[in-house]
Formats: sequence, C-alpha cells, structure tokens
Amino acid sequence: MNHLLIMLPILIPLYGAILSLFCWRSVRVQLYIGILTQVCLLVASFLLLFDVNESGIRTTQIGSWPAPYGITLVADLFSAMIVITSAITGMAVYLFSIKGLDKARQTFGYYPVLLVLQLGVSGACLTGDLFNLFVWFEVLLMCCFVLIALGGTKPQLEGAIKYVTINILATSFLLAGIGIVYGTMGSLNMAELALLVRMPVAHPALINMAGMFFLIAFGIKAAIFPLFFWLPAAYHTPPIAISAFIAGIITKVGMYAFIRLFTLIFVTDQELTIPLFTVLAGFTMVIGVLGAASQNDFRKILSFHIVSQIGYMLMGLALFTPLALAGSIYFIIHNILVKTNLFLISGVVAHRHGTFALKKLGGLYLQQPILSVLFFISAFSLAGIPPFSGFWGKFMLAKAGFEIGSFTIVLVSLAVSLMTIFSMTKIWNEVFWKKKPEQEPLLDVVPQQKLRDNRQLYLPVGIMTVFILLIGLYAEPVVAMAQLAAEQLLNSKLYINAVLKR
Amino acid sequence: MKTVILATAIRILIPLFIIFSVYTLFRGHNHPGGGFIGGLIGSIAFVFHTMTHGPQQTVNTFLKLNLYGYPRQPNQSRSLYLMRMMRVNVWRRRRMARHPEVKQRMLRIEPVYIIATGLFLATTSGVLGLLSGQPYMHAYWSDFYIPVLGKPGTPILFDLGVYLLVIGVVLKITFVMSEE
Amino acid sequence: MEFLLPFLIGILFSASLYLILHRHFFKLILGLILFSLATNLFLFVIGRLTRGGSAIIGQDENVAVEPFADPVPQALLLTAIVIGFGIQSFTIVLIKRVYQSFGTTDLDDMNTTDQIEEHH
Repeated sequence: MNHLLIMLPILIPLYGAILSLFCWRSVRVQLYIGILTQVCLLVASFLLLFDVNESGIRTTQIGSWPAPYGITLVADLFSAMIVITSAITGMAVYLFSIKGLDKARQTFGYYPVLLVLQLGVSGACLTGDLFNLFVWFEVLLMCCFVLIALGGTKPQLEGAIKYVTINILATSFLLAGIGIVYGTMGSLNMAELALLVRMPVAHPALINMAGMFFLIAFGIKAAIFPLFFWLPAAYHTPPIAISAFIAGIITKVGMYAFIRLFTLIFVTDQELTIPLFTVLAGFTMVIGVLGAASQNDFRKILSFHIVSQIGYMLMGLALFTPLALAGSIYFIIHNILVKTNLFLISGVVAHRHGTFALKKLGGLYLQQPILSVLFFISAFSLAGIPPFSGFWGKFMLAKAGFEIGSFTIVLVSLAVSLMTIFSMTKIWNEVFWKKKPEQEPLLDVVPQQKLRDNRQLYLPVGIMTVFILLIGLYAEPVVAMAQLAAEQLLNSKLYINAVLKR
Repeated sequence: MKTVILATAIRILIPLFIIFSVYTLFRGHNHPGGGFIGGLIGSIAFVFHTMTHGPQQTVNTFLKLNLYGYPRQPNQSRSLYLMRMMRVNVWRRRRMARHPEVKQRMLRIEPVYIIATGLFLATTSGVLGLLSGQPYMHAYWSDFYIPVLGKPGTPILFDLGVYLLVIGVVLKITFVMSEE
Repeated sequence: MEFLLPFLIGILFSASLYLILHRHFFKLILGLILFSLATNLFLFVIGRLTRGGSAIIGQDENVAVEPFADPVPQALLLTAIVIGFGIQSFTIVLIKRVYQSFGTTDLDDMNTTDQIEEHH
C-alpha cells in the first residue's frame, strides 16, 4: 500500500494522458477521461497527505533497488501538501478549460499535455534524487513550452521564444550543478548527499559553488529578483486556461525545489546564503510590486504580482527558523490557490467582455455581483487582509522575522503588502467599480449562449474560493501541518533515516 | 530526393534495419543495447523511406491497413459473420476487393497511437510489481529460457514500450518536418 | 586529453554565449545547442574520466574488472542528450513558426509583450 500511495499521484495523470492520446480524435472522450483523472488524482493526493500526516515520511524505491543506488521517491508533508494543492488547482483549471478554451486548442492535444504537466509537478515534488528532479523539471517545462505556444498567435510565439530561451539556459545551469555535485560527492541521492555534506568533507567550497549553480537554475525557474524578466513577458500571452495553471504552479514548484535543496543539502555555508537570500527576497518583493503598479492590463498586473509573492516565499527561507519556513510553506499553498483563482477570474471577465485592458472594462459590480465578491475575497487574500489566507502566511513570516531581529526585511514585506493592496484596489476600481466606458452599443450585446457559458465558468472560481476561504478562516490545521512540515525540513535526520532505512 | 540507387537500396535495407533493431532491443538485457537505441535504429528505416518516397507513401506502405467487409445478413449468426470477415481479410483479399458488395474501410495508424501504445506498455510493466505489493517497476523473471530472447520478464515489456515510443516520436517528428 | 577538455568546454561556453546574445534567430538557436553541448561535455568531464573497460560484469566474473569507467555520468549524459534533443527540435520548429508569422529574423522586433499597453 505504501508504494502504491506514493506512486498514484504520478501514475494517475500518466494513465490519463495515455488514454487521452488513444482518443486523439475525439475531444469529448478526452474531456471525460480528464474529469475522471482529475477526481482520482484529487482523491489519491488526499490519501497521500493523510497517510504522511499519520505516519511520517514515506519512501519507495523504484524497481526495488536499495536507497543510494536506485531511484527514490519520498513523500513528506511539504511535498504532499504541494501535490494536493496542485491537484486542486488542476481540477479547477480543467473545469475552466471546458468552456473557457477555444475548440481549436482543445483538439490539438490540450488535455493530454495538461495531464503530463500535472505528472511533472507530482514527480518533481515526490522525487528524492537530484537527477530525477532535473528530469521531472524537463517534463513539466516541455509541457509548458507546448502549452504556451499552443495555438500559435503572435504574442504567444513571442512569449514562447523568451520562455524557451531562458529555460534552456536554466536547465543547463541545473545540469552543470548536478555534475559538480556528483563529481565532488559521488552520489545523487538527496538523502545520502544530506548525510555527506554534514560530514567534514574536503570540498566545502565546491559544494557551495554547486549550490550557486542551483540558485541560478531554480532562481530562473522561480523568477527570483535579477532573473525574473522572462515571467511578465511570457505568462500573460496564452489563453487563461493555460496561463492560470502555469502561473499558479510552475514558479512555486521551482520554489519548492529551492527550499528542499537549501534546507537539506546546501546548508554548509549559511553565512553566505542567508544574507544573500534576504537581499534577493527584499528586491524580488519590491521590484515585482512596483512593476505591477505600472501596468494597465489585468493579466500583466497579476503576472508581476507572482514575482512579488515569490519574494515572501524566499523570505521564509532567508530567515531560516521553523516558524519562518512554516510561513513559507503556508504561503506557497495560499499563493498557488489565490493566484490561479485571480487568473481564472480575469479569464471570466475577458470571456464576457473580450478584453483584459483595465481602461476598457468597468461596471462589473452591477453586471456580475457574484464574480465581484469572488474577486474581492481573492484579492484581499492576496494582499493579506485578516481573516483571509494571505494574512496568516505573512503574519507567520513577520513574527519569525521579529523574533530573530531582522527588522528591515519585515518592514519591506509589510510595505510591499500595502503596495499589493494598491494594485488590487486599482483592479477593483477600474474593472468592477467605475462606470463602464462608452462604446458602440453593438459591442455590448452578448449572445445568450455565451452568457450561459460564462455562468459555467463560475464553477471553478467558486471551488477555488471555497478552498481559499477554508485555509483562511479555518487556518489552524493547515498552519499546524505547515509547522510540522517545517520541522521535518529542518530536522534532516528524519529524511535521511526514512530514505536510507537506518 | 528520389534517386534510383537510394530507392532500390532502401527496399533491401528496411528489413535489415528492422531486424537489427529488434535484435538490439532484445540484446539489451545482458549486453549493450535496449529499447531506446533499438527504436532509433528501427526508425531510421522509416526516415529513409520518407526521404525517398515522401511521407504520404510511407503512411500508405507501413501505417495503413485496408479492411474489407460487407453488411451482416439478417439471419446470419454473429460468430459466423465474424469468421467470414476474418477470412475475407486474411486471404482472398485481392479477389474480395473487386467484389461489388464489399466495402473497403481504411485503418490508419497515426504516430500518436504508437506513442500511446509504447507509453502504455512501459508504464504497465512497472505497475505489475506495484499490484503485488512490491515497489514500482519491481522485475519479475520467468524460469524458462527461449533461445534468442533469453529469459522473458517484465523489463522486456518496458523496453518494448520504449521501442515503440521512440519509433512513434521519430515518425511524428519526421512527418511534421517533411510536410512542406 | 583530459588537460585539453576544460579549455574546449570554456571555448564552447563562450562561443555559445556570444551566439545567444546575437540578435539573429538562427544564431540564437545555434548558441542554445552549443550551450547544452558544452554543459553535457562539462558533465562528462567532471564525472571523472577513466580510461579503461566498461562497467559491465562479464559472465565469468563477480565484480567488474578495474579500472572501469563510472557508468553514472554516462547515463546522466545520455538522458540529458535525449532531453536536449527533444527541446532543441521543439525550439527549431518554434523558431520556424515565429519566422513564418513575423516575417523577421531579428530578435529586436519581438518586444511587444514587454510593453505597457496604452489606448489602442
């Protein structure tokens, strides 16, 4: 049972994708396979989380090869939490894409590629081997490339070129880092590496150098301060059903790998990494939020906010206390849900009104009051207004920062929160509150069928909002779980013993 | 790029390539070789064929199956009908094709289906171990020995899956790239 | 030989960076291919070059005969090459599509997604 539970979040999307490939001709059958897969994945990842929460870190060895030699899959609380969040997000995006994505893109393999992308996310979260991490990242990046370019409109191709170029570079850096790690320590199993770096080894400088390679590689994938320029250039180009999932998940998976590696393996030189991460976190937050303030497009504002929120997650790693890491973990979960939901809402708005430009929108509060309330909840959650979910993450981070006396970064993060409110109020004012700008009356007539489709798009947004409210208003179990996960991260003995069976 | 020399040579080379690729595939268990490299060698055959005759001809030669059939008579039993149909399609194909009542149905194998079959085989070979409580991809070997293949076991399924996957992917890439 | 390889890697890296920074599409893709080649070679060299047999255990032996080459970097390299092959073929098709729809080979013409949209 143990082996099956860890494998299921990987096997279910894979089988879903295979079945969808067999039904290449019929989009309708792919749709049914997709919904079945999503439900199964949700159930399986919930079972995994429940199991890991009950009985600690779970491992399995592919092909029964013992630990440092074979491929290890590890599920601890952190990875299980990311897996279930990605399953929820995948479900919502899938429901959105039924009506929210044009038929042409659906016939060109959207569903199988989305499922393989989910497979990549699960794999990257569950693997316990550095090289496997690389492979899973390639799996999910290939899917992102295909999804971003799917349809081949001009802005999409342009975004795809930037995305592909920078990601190939990041991949090469990652590979070089893996090479250095293998060359110096002769192993790629993360548990064994964690054991080896804590011994008095001969090359701490080389390990550090490898760490910097990983910093650049995952820094690009997670869009950390000097390496984020590709993100706002690429994420807003594809249709919402695609960009919601990519924007919600991919950078956070990069952040997941970042936190995993820099708590487990590259901990030898914290005099260098902690101040570096603090500075990077501060700049990432500030630059992201300033970039968002200058934009006039719904999706572009949200894209820049991704960068800003990545700063908070990095801040937890920079503070490096149990509470701060717990804050980071909670914040990742919260951010995946909220960011995807905001993107989906922008998609609902654009589906109805045909534009993302703030100037052309307006008056939605009168036309679609329910959508306005849903946006209000998500936006205030993103900005961190209590009692919504963003507040708890920021509260834990700020408290951890005050406890160890890093006042500057905490003050920066609080100021960035204010700026986030500014951006969210800007969207609120322009899209929902102000009067609709005058335009030709013919453009205002929306066909009945479209209105009906539009109402169906509320369903995924509603589901996501329920989850956001749940982790915000009933935060206690999630926070407790995040704290447990942070303890597992910091106490690397647990991880090592679970994998190497000692 | 249709030249007589290449076109003639390819007729002899294609079976050679495919036989050698299958040999490499099965050799991979105890010696260098395996599904990936076997699939690449096998796909060279199709790539060469596409280069000489064009993608449409490759599809017609290798990836298309014409099935012949006629509607079932009202009082004919299903099993008898099925047997008739099988016989029609296996032998006397030429003569049946000219028969006025017989309808032709084309079964075209897309590269996507080859890819899917390969993935399915490779994934399922691992699941067998999982179902019996062992880790994923736990290998099961049989005891008997077959002269060319060696001892068959679940990893052969995996390699076969990779073989098909590689052939499918290379075919797809070749068809896409040679479309203009 | 082992002495020369690091220099070769360095030359490959610098040449590929030069090509990537070029404005022409074709040079960009050449640069990307060279960059991943250089990385693969780096991975190969840093995994320690051992001149000797392969790590395959013969039928009459219990352990492989020393000295044998470490198979792990080779396996990593093969995987990386295969993945790189897939990504490169995707990139080539992508760049072809970009050329077809934009009608240009200059990367400087592709700056619209970064700009702040005003009234249209």
